[in-house]
Amino acid sequence: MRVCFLLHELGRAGGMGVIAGHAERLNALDGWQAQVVLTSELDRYADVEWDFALATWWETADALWKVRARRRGVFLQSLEERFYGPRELFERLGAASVLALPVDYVTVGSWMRDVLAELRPDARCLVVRNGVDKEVFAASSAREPSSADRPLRVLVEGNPGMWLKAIPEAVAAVEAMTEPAELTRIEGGLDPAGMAAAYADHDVLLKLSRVEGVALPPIEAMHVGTPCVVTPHTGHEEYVRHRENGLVVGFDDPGAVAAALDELARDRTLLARLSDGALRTASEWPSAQDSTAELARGLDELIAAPEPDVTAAMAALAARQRLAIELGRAQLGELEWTEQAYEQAKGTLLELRAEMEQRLGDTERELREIREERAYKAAARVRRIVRRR
Amino acid sequence: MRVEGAPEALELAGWDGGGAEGPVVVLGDGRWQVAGGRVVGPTGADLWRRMPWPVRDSLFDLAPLADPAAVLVVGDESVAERLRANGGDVAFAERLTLDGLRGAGVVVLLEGHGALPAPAMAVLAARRVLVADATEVTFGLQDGIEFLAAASPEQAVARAEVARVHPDAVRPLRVMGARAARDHRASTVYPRLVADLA
Repeated sequence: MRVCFLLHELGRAGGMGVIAGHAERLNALDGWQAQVVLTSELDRYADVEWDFALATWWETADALWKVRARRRGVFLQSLEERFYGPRELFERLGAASVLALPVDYVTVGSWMRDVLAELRPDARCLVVRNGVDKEVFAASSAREPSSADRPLRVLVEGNPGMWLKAIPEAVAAVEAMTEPAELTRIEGGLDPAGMAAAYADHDVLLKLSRVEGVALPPIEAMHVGTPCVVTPHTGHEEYVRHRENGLVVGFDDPGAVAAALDELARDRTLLARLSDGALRTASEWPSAQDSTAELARGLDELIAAPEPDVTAAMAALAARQRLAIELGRAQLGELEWTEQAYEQAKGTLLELRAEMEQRLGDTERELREIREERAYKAAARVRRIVRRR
Repeated sequence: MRVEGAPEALELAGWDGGGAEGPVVVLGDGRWQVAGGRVVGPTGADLWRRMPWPVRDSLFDLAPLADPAAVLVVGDESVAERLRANGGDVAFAERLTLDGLRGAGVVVLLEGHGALPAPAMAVLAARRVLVADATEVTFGLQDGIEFLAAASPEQAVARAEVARVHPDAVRPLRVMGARAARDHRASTVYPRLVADLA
């Protein structure tokens, strides 16, 4: 089977690593050929016929019909519409449209399969959990046990520039703790071995994300025995069990986050129990090889199935477009209102300015007239004489 | 654990799994007080947990409404009047109740404090479209994905109109809203609170 993964750019982001890893491991399987194809380099592959082409990000979806492929699919690592704010209607529409294509879907989390099943009951969707490299992310006997004599070592990873990672909130929560704590922030740039070492050097991973597909850091950290404190972001339910292998805290509740961390700082028995639970969860999580084998089985299954239903996809697309159109109209109406209000305020301001200039001119003229009066000149002369004396 | 609150709050946010003994959790809405109770709510002083109220499990199975365009406005009668003037089937209530929720396809919750209203997750669990004046604190919800945010009564009218007139178009909001509400299911949240207090 010849598979291409369509990518818009190469980078070290977790999602791209997952795709590159699948491609590499598929190539190691008998009868499989996989290739990462950049959408900027489609011409290079114009003569290649793929059995399966997979878009990997909403902006790569149009490339599905620019390559020669027997079947087409989308590899969903998140519902990407949620990466954008309410004013980014075009990006949201583009990202949401991916869920309304006549293709098959492979996703990394069951929550996305469930959402798709409701939005597109006609669509086939397989779940292939992202595997973890069990050799790199492994519990080590060298891991220093947590001690109540030392501050709680808290790790926060993620790009602080991405609102959905809520890094400032995580930092603020650690600063609000009453128990001693040491905070380490990682903003990226570490390779898997570096991340594994970082997890092992800390007592807990704090992840207060607002949007995730299925975040890899908490499950990677569990593999080295580090439990997590997380918000109930999408995908957390794939592996976090409250008070078994981590703690779940609410969104927008900094007091509760600080209280949870303080509890772990005080109660190292609880921390040790969560660490044991994390290792148990990790032992049941698929390895990277397991995950790719699951993907291969899934693609075999999908290619043997009938072609996806175009009519149902088009109906879903039309409905989604309608939502964007109506919300866009409402926003444009509000923008128009704001523009009118601005123009009105500007007009009023100009009128006020003209009036002020008129009054200023009148005052200056009156002043000049007063200064021309004989009485004023006489008074000015008297004042000068008095000053000289 | 015992959950206490106004009767209409318990209909929406109560928990059958709680016993009569143990700590008391109070559904905070500024009215209901229990000495020694731990208050949960989206805003207010002396909160033990800052959060929207949990959702009574049965609300996830609330029957869909025959008319998804029926609107319930809570908190601002002028919004209800303007929606009626546009030709909508619109009810108004001072507070959200289970009966009110049953009869609505679109629920407009206006509480004026900028945070997601306390019973918001009940609306989402019941797969009703939520329009709310939550412009500051949304507890993980995204405007335009799980609910529609309104920064003014005018916006509340405009957003409710979209939901009322185009029920098929707002289906993704119902689906994503119900998914988000799952994390607030009473049988998920209250046992966690019990464990936190143990």
